[in-house]
Amino acid sequence: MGQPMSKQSLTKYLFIFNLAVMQSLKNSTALLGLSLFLLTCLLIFAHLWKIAAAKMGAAHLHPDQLLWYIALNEWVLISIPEIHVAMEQDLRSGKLAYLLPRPISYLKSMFFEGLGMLTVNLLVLGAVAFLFTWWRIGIFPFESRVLILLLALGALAGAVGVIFQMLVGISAFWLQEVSPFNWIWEKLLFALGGLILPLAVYPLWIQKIAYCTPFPAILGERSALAIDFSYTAALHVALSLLFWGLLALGCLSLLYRKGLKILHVEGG
Amino acid sequence: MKAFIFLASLLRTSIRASISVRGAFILEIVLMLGNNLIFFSMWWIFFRQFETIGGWQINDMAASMAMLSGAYGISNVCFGGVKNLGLIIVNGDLDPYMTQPKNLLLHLAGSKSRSKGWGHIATAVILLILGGFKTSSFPLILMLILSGAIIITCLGLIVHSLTFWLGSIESVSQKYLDSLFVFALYPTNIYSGLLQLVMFTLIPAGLIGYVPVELLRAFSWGKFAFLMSSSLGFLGIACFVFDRGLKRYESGNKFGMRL
Repeated sequence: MGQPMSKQSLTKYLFIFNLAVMQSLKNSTALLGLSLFLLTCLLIFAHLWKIAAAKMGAAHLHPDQLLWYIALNEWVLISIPEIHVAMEQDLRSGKLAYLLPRPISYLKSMFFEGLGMLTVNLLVLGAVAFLFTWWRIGIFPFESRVLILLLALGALAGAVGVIFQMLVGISAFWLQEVSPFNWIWEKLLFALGGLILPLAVYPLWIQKIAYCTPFPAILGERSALAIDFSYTAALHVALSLLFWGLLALGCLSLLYRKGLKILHVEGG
Repeated sequence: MKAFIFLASLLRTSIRASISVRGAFILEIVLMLGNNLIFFSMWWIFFRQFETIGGWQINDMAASMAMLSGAYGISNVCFGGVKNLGLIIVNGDLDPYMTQPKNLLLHLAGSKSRSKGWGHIATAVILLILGGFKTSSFPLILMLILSGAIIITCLGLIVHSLTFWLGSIESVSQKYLDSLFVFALYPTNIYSGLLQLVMFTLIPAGLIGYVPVELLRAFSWGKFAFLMSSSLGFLGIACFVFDRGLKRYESGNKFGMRL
């Protein structure tokens, strides 16, 4: 996303972050809607696993552990804001041309706006997901150190998700509508990320494909730490997320510069 | 009769308009098809592990997804305008529609055809072929898909019409409608008590996915009548809510033209 930030410019972006946090907090209807959606998803999965529990012997997985696994997945998945929609509107309506003369980078401002929304969603939905799963299962299986690590990895996964959402949004420079790419991104995240089943029970060839993508680090591999925690595995997830995040940032910056050239030639 | 002729002309125009940008049209269809098949692959992995869930096998899941995709497809192709309704109400853009001597609800719903609907329809066809359904059950499948399309369209109308009372609730309405698609893809018999009631009323996912599949597995006139009367019930409620809401509508005082 361009050059490193000075302290002064960081203050500007932190201001955007704060603004996004305040706006998200004010939009309580949306937060309530997301919380209800999350609760319904968790209720459905709790029932699904209750039915599947009889066959669990084949998968060597306990339904309670799986509910924590799914809660950690859904928590991050639903928290990632749909920042691509705002970017698509800015790019398609030509609003970007008005935003460019501002003394801040468009990409960085969108990123911090996304992070602000993500933070509020993670906090609210995190409370909902953790309290519901705890209440449903009756025990809280995490030590405080493990919990802090899981929360930090969730936040990092969410931030990587925001960058990938921005990559979807930036495609509006070339496409009429970006939502078809968002559908594919989302469904690949569901399938290769291991949304409802840990990747370990997938056929081996799908596992191999999945581990060549960012999806397991964002969802399944990270949430599998709730089933079988080890510091090595947590470090692996963190490094994977950093790698994919940096790669996506590089692609985003490159595509943005290419897109700007189109904008300069053809106008807003 | 006049209303049907109007709807047919409207659909012809909307569909032509959606096809006009050919590249985007084809891209949307292909990506929606890919999107649905990727999602189905997740269920394939699940059923590979567990074989049956609540008496359902992978074929039943294929049928459920085919019914749902077909219904969503028809709703998007024929009544894609419903998705814009909330925004139209908030922006006060109903005026150009209201000045025309045509059925307002039909006009709004049929004013846009969404290309992604064809991708859903293609998914339904592929899954029905893969599921090995007999051609003799085609009329029943078509009826079930049409009933699902009516329910989906009516729910969209009801939820977006709430804008008349609640103001801008665009993101929440959309989330609700998206969640309907997701929840309809789970066998409703896994739920019990209150959740099952919700799945047939507030989020009628059971009426779009579960009941049609049960009818395909073992047809019964009782269930069929229940499904058809539910669709008509949703249609009645949608017309009523929209009509009531329209009385609260305040013009945007905007100059606009709709050809």
